[in-house]
This record gives sequence, structure tokens and C-alpha cells, in this order.
Amino acid sequence: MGRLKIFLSINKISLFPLVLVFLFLLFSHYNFLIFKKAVKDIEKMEERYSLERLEYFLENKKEDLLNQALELGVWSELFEQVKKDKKDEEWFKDNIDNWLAVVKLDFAYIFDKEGQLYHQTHPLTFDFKPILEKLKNRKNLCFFVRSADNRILNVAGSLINRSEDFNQEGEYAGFILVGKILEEDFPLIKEATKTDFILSKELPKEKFISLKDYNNNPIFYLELKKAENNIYQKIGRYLKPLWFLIIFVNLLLIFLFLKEVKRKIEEEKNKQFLFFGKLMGFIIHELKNPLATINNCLYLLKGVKEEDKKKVYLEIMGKAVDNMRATIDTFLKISKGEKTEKDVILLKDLIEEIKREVIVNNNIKFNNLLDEQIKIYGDRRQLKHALKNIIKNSVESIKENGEIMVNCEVNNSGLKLVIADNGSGIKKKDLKKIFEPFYTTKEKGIGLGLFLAKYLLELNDSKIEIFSKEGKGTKAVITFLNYE
Amino acid sequence: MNKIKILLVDDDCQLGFTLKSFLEINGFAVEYAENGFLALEKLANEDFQLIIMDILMPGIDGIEVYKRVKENKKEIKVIFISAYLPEEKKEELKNLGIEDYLEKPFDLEKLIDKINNLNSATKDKSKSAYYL
Repeated sequence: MGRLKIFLSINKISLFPLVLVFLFLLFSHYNFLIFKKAVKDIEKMEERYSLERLEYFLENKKEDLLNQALELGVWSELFEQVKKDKKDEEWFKDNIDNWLAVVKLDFAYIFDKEGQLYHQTHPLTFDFKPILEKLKNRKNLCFFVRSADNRILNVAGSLINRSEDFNQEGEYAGFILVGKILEEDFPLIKEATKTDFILSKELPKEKFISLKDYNNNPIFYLELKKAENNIYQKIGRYLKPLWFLIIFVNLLLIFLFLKEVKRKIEEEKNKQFLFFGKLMGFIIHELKNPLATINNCLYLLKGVKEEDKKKVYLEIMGKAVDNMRATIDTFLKISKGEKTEKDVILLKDLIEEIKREVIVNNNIKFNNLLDEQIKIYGDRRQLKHALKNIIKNSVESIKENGEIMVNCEVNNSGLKLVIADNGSGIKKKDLKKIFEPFYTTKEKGIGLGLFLAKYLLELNDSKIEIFSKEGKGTKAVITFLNYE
Repeated sequence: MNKIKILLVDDDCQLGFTLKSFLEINGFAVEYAENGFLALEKLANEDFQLIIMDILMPGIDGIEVYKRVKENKKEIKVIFISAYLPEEKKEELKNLGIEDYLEKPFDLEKLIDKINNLNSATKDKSKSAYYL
């Protein structure tokens, strides 16, 4: 756990580029979906487009259709209808010029000469074979049907490019168009490919489509006005030819991201290496000082004859050994993440003890306002180390004269120990980083103080928050859960 | 002959005590300061020929004390001692023309040698700090 904690910041950072790559892939995929949707939309639109064109044609060429339909003669269906309306055949024949029948395969429509819908009926009940027969014998008329699956029926009612009888399909939803007949014998229509083209899913490249007979008279003429109105369709239209380029750019970007990830990992490795370098330096510093003391004592002991002096040097050596042990213990605990002691600590005494060790400048006023009875529970050595680092920071932030105030309050979250100073404070940008290992704004110091303080406090079920304003001072609030 | 007056600055009191004892046994007059502030205070009030000073200390560090002292007392000699120096501190020393320091723990007789060397090399005014 402890080791994990030390690496936490490092590992957290190395995940960042991976998250970026993931987001990028997600974004690419999203783009791809949009693109796919755009293509689909275009296809749908084109389908609709072709239908709409035909409707457009019917709508706009109604007059022509009407005129041409008049040449058709009698529609049996119309006869039937007229009969139902109690009109006699004579009447119908007299009024034949007034009728136009347009058959859509889901419904048959019969219009009057003014273009008003007179009657509609279901095509399956509508036997237009006889009409087709009649049509077949008419010159200058063509008759073809577009079915739901975009197949074209010729005037004889058989499919130009489909073998099945449309009547058996049962689900046609197309149009019967009426135009000038091209030849005595269908099925071939000149420029029929163009008709196919209109009905296929490819968008026509021409702005105008016309179907002409062999005398070059237009059978129908369509102006392709319908423009795509969906943004995806627009994007898709332009992106379609660029699709491979997009994939290439995406791959290139992924490659660059992976390269960046690699670089970042290398950087983190170096950071880790640096971290350990600094940590080792710090441990060396902490161990070599007492070692030097022992070394000096040993040297001095050689020349000392007085027993009391010998005792003094031996005592000093003992303290130095204690210090070394304390340092080693601290780092062992950090690496293992354990706490070993559960001491009862009188908080005021502990702060006083720290004060004596830390306050070396008489210009600093130290106000220990704690109640003598307040006890906290935890590892005394660890907590002393932590609080000492915090108070040391306060001392160091006071340049000339200043004040450090230690107080506490109890609330729902626990015992809050407040250590406040009126020193130089911490810059806002530095405030976020003060708990990072080896982060320091001070000329001196290694930057482990607050990192260790936070770590040791957390080991003892406590937490620390730091509030600061540059130029005004700093307030450290330490919350202890185990107190009395 | 007057004793050489040395100011010893180290934040480790026990080490300071043993060094002070050793230097006094060897005939030097030694004043001890526990940190940079106290050192500067003492330097303002008394004259010293030599400063033996730790580098990493709380408050103001040895290099800062050195810079401030040198503003007024150019002739004063300084021997730096340190248990460990991070690279940036080494660089800082180098920029001040000091290429080395006495690394703790050191042989105490070596310290005496260096003090004597320093004492006999007073003619060389250009050097302001000596290293071992």
C-alpha cells in the first residue's frame, strides 16, 4: 500500500495519454458512425428522392397526363365506378375526355380533368390487364410501372428486369406512368437505362432527366431540384471520396498518440528514477549526520580520560543511534505503509516539544492555545514528525517577525487542530502541489516535508488541509479522529 | 598567540557539540550557532577568522549565510560541511567558485589539516572558501 501510494502520482500521470488515445478512438468511432449514418441517409434520401421525383412529375405534368390519358379510352375500373355511381356507359363515353386514371400499385387513383381526385381503389382489386391490353394497341402511348423494389414493368405488365409476375408479389407500391408510346411492340424503351438510373440508388449526375422517344420527343422531363437538407448528408457527400484519407489521418494520429504515450512513459520512468535518487539523498542526509556524530564521539573518546566526559560522549552516541533508528523506522514504515504504535499523546505537550526544537528565532511569537487535557491516539513518533514538518514550514515562512498560533476545536468530523501563521503564504498555483513529493518552492529543503506529514497523518487516521493566501499567511487544519 | 576564532554552524546539535569539543581540544576558540539566523547574529556582533558551516539547514541555509557574510566581511574563510547535497546545491556552490565541501562523516584530523592549510594560505585573497 505504502509503495503504491508513493507511486500513485506517477502512475496516475502515465495513464493520462492512454485516456487521451481512448477518447480519440471513441471520437473516431463516433465520426465513423456519423459518416455511416450520412451514407445511409443519402441512400434513404435517394430512394425517397426518386419517389418524390415521380410524384413531382405526376403533380406537375397532370395536365399532360390528363390529355394523354384521354387517348387511352375506357378504363374498366372507371366504368365500374361510373356504374356504381349510377351513371350509364353512354354518359361515360360522352365524358371520356374528362377522366384520367393514374394507378399507384397500392392504390389506383382516378382524376377528373381538373386534376381532382375522383376515386381511389386498391390495386389488387383493380384488374388493369385489360387496360394494358388496350394500351398495347395504342400508338404514341407508353405505360410502365415502378414497383416498390424499383423494378420497372413494361406496358404489357411484365417486368423489364424482373421475372415474377408483379401481381403475385402483392406488395407493390409504384406508379403507372402514362406517356407516348414508343414502339408498337414494347418492352424496350429508348433511354431506358436512364429510367433505371432514376430509380436506382445512385444519384444521377445530370441535373435534368428526360425520357425520350425515338423521335426525340420527351416522354417526360424531370428537373432534379431536390437538394439534401440534412447536415449529415451534406458532410457525407463531401466525405465520401475522402474516406480513405480520413482513415489514414486517423491512423497517423493514433500513431502519433502512441508515440506520445511512449514518450510520456519514458518521462515517468525518469521521474521515478529521480524520485528515488532524491529519496536516497534524503535518507543519506538523515543518516550521515548522526553517523558523523558517532564518528566524532569515537575519536574524542580515545583521548578522554575523565569518566563523566566519557559518559557524555556515550550518551550523545546513544542519541545519534536513536536518531538513525528513527529515520530508518520512518522510511521502513513508509515503504510498508504500516503503523505500529498506538500511543496516548498529550497534544499540548507534543506541540511544546516541537516548538522547542523548531523555534530558533526569537522574533517568532508562538501561541500554543491548546487545552492541556486534550489527548490524541496514534504513533507518537510519526505524529511528531508530521506536526514538526508542518510547524517547521510555518517557521520558515516567517521572514522577520511573525506569529504562529496553535489552537483546536471539536466538531462532528473530529478534533481539528489548527496551526496558523502570518508568514509569506503559498501562491495559489503552488497550493495544489504542496503534498507532492519533492515539490518545494524553498531554496533549501528537499520537498518531502508536507508529503511525509500527510502520509504519516493518514497512517494515523488523520487528515490535513492547507489554506493559504500569499502575503497573508497559512493555516493548516489537521483532523484527528482518535482523540479524547 | 591569539587563538583562531571559529564560528561553527550546524543544525544537528549533537554533531555541533562533538565538533565544538574537538576543535576546543585542538586549541581553537569556538562559538556554536544552531542555524543560519543565529550565525548571522553572532557574525554581526563578533569577529571570526573562520566559519565551519553546514549547508542544508532550516531557515536560511549555509550558502545564503555565506553570501550575506561575504557582503561585509570578505576576508572571512569558510569551510562547508554537509552530509548530502542535491545537484542544485552543488551547482550553486560551483557558481560561487566553491568546488567542494567536507562530507560528513569526515576524519577530524583532516579538518585540522584544512584549518591549518587555510590559515597558512591567507595571502591568497582571491579564494574565499576552501575545500578538502
